[in-house]
Amino acid sequence: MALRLKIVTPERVVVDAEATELMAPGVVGEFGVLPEHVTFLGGLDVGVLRYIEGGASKSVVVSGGYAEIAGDLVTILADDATPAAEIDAASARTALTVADQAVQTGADTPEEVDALLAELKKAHVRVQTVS
Amino acid sequence: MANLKDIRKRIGSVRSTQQITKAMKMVAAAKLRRAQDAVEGARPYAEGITTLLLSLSGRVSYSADPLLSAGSGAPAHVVILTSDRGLCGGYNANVNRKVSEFLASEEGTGATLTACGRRGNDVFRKVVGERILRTHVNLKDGLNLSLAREVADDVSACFARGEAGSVYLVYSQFRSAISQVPVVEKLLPLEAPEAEDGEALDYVYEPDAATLLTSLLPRYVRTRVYQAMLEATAGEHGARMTAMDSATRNASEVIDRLTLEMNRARQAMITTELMEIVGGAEALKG
Repeated sequence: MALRLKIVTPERVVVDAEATELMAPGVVGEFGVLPEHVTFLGGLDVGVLRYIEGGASKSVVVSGGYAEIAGDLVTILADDATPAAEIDAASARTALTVADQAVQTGADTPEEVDALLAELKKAHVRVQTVS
Repeated sequence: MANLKDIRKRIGSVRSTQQITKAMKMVAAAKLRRAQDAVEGARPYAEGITTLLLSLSGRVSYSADPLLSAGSGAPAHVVILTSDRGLCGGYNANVNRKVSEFLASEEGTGATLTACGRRGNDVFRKVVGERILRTHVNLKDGLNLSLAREVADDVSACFARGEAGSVYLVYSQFRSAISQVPVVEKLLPLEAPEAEDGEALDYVYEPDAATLLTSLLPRYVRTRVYQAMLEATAGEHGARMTAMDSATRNASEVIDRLTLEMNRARQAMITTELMEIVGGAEALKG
């Protein structure tokens, strides 16, 4: 038995694979999915989603969205998703520095601060994934 | 009859125009293909979001969220999607006409606008002036996802604050390369998509359904705006391709006509010369 995993962003289908197991960053904590999982709908946080395809573990950085599990079909609707293999280490570090500075500078409204912090977290996760 | 040199010059200039229109047609065709791929690529996400909204909306008391409430009596807000560049036939004119009609029907209520694309902005800047609240022009990568997010969040906030009573999208729907239909679409207040038959799945929600729905609605609005933008982009390239194709064909016709005229002028010149020679010879004989 395997899971059919689909990771979809507003622009394209990023991953469409047969996975035996997956770990996803839910908003209320990381959760794991194996076949025969209960029908489930959850929010996703910024973080790394890991799945095992043909015995090899793969990672995808996702930032926000939803995970829907119905039968053996797992659909991840992410705001943004990048497979770890596609992340460029140097540009990820630059992005982290930029985001860090932006947070230091601060912002006017609480919404803007939230957006900056989210950006920082995203950059941080990316750097951690590649290094 | 025009002289030979002038006609030759005109043929030359029409021919170089034709080369440009032909090149533009090829570029538009390539961009159209990319735009159509983008429309295809965006479909799975849009379908997923709509399905989620359907399953959640059945479970949560609906009218709680400001994006779903019927809206205040405030004036309508219109988001116009046009292109930055012209030379695409009636594409922008059709959208602008639709907007004018809509504004005429809302006459006196003080409807406000968001203009994406220079062609719409330029036209309505003159008509409604300050009532264009936001403009997005000279877009380097066209109508893309980050712009869709910005516009969607902006109009949602405007609606939630009660500054706009309703929000409409006016854009060209892409049917085929030769047919784009301008449409007015209601964006806000959100209407729940029609449920299809078949029982809803009994999900375990994490966090609870109401929280999920609240975070889902802005995403749904963004998706709707993004899809409209993709359609508009495909429509623009389709319209440009068709317009440039007929321009190329027209140029061929003009070249044919001018060539005919040039041959006639040449013939006439030869005849005149012959007549002169014959006349001269006759005169010498006498």
